[in-house]
Amino acid sequence: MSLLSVQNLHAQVEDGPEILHGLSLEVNPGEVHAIMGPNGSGKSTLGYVLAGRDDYEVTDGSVTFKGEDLLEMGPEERTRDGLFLAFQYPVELPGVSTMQFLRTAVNSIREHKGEPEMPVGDFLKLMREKADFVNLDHKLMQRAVNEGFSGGEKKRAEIFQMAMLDPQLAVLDETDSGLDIDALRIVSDGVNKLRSQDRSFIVITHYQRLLEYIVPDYVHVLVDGRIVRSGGKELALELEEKGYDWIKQEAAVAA
Amino acid sequence: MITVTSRPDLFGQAAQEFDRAFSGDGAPRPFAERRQTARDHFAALGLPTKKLEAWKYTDLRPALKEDYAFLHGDGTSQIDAADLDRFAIPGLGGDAGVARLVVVNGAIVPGLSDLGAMPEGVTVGSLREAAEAGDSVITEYFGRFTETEHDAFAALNSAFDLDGYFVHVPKNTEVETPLHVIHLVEHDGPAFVQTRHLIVAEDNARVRVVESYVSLADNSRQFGNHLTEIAAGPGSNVRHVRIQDEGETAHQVTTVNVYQDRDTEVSTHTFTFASGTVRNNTAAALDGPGSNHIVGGLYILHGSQHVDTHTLIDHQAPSCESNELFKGIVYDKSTGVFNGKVYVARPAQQTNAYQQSQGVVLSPDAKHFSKPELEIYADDVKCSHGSTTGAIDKEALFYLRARGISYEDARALLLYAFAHDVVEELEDEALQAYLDARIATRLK
Repeated sequence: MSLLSVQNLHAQVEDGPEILHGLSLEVNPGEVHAIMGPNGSGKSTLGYVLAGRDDYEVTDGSVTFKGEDLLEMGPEERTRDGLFLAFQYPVELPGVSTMQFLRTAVNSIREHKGEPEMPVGDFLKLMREKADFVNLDHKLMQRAVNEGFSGGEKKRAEIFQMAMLDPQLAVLDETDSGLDIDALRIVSDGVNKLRSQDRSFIVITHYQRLLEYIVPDYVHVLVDGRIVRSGGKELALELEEKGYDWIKQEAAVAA
Repeated sequence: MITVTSRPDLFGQAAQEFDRAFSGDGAPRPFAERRQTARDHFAALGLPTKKLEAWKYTDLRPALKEDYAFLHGDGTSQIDAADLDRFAIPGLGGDAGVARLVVVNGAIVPGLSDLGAMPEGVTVGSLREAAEAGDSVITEYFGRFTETEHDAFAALNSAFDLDGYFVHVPKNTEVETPLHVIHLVEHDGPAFVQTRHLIVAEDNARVRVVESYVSLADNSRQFGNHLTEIAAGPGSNVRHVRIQDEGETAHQVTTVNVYQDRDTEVSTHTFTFASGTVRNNTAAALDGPGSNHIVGGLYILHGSQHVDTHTLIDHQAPSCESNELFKGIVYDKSTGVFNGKVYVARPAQQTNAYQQSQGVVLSPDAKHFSKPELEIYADDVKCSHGSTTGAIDKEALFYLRARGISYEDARALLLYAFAHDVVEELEDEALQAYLDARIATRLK
């Protein structure tokens, strides 16, 4: 059974035009799938719909996660069940302490699994360990969530949070955007360390660059809300070389 | 016992009876003339109605419907001192300790108070007693910063021979020990109670007062009319914090009038939790250059609570600053009102005045009104005001839920952060912790 099965997904922003026009995707345990596509092709919409943002509306199709209907679940239930979205634009939460935020998150997931609350000492240890994973300054933990973080720090903090929550399927929404090459390497290293037989990734990106560091098993090209081509990692190189126009034209002819 | 009914004219009648009752012992009462003037003012004004612009959003009639008995405490109480411990603020004052004054039915109760931690040289005690003893500080300051001609509740308050706390800190005295004042009503049946307080900080003095308006019973029906005057002498620093937490059948009108001489810093904060209909008026006159006033408040309202905040920051002198931050969280059918006026007179050049009012509305039946006013006659000033009323940030809520946090917990985390902003303005960590804990229980 696949970990995630997306069938003929149609989705739109509430009261807006349809953005995803029948997207299908299968992700098995341990696989890394890259979703590439030009701006406006629906990449971020896919991330939000999977994570359950409520101003996106699914009008047709289905999404099954671990055999269950994902679309029936609230965003917190999806995360507790093992799905994680690393945001393209992580939200700053002034006044919300990073520690309290993460403790609440970690313990919500533990409660869902029927585990007791994590003792504070263990939690602090885990936090330090996972922060080191992405070279995240421990001082940032003393601040409010993402508040005053640089662009790179925010992205690293997302991967850090992912490591804390230990998901089975992580969706990385343009985690590479706005990162310089060093930051990109740190973030990618963090992700690579988390790769395992039981954990899958959907890496959403505009550029092939990220995929040099996080080498995918599959590459899918998203154009106008549909996957128009799927292939191995070499497809990313082809896109890098030829740009998106070539594939857009093909897609237009096929339609 | 004097009974007051809902008919506003009977308040005036009660005032007269009250006055007679108190002069019954034949002793000359201090400020007899001032009281008479205030009573005349009250008689002329009557109780305010929604027809008045300043009372547009607040209808006192339902709160005044009770058959209130007019209380005038005699300085004794049946309350067990141990029962008061739950109103204590753990750790307040730190190593300096805390002094406690207990006010029951409007009068200081020495038997329940403990001023042992107060250093020598500082006067803390009953305002009535000090006035009767002819304390010259009271003669100089009592009523000086309170206008009764246009303010019915200030007039009503000033009309009686009231008790409350009196704090006098002489020159160059810095009092580390905070004064914690606990207000209680001890009465079966609806009660009307008034208190009158005066804080005088002389040159370079420093003092902190925290007031808790609380109840022993959850649903004690009461109406309070409390007035505090603060006089800050040159270079002094006064911090005043009020916690209103008397229960949903307890109504209040409060007035805080502040006068600031040069180079002073005064802060006045009000935290409103369980209450009925409340009107809080704070006015600060910045009358000497180089002074700063910080005024802030937080209200978290449930049910049909109604809290109306009016502030007036009166910049009369140059190079002063004022910072104002009020936040409200309104649930259910509750109502929050903020009306803040900043007045900058022509001589008050180089004024920096900042005002911020924020309301979060959490139910379709809850309301929040915000009306900032700036009136500026000086031309070299920095003034700003911001006013927002709205729901919780959806983006932030989604981000938290996407981390496995329930909607309820996510909402509470965000509201707590929102509310804590005001708490953070307070210096005392123990007080911050106490308020944060109370805030957490009020968020749902």
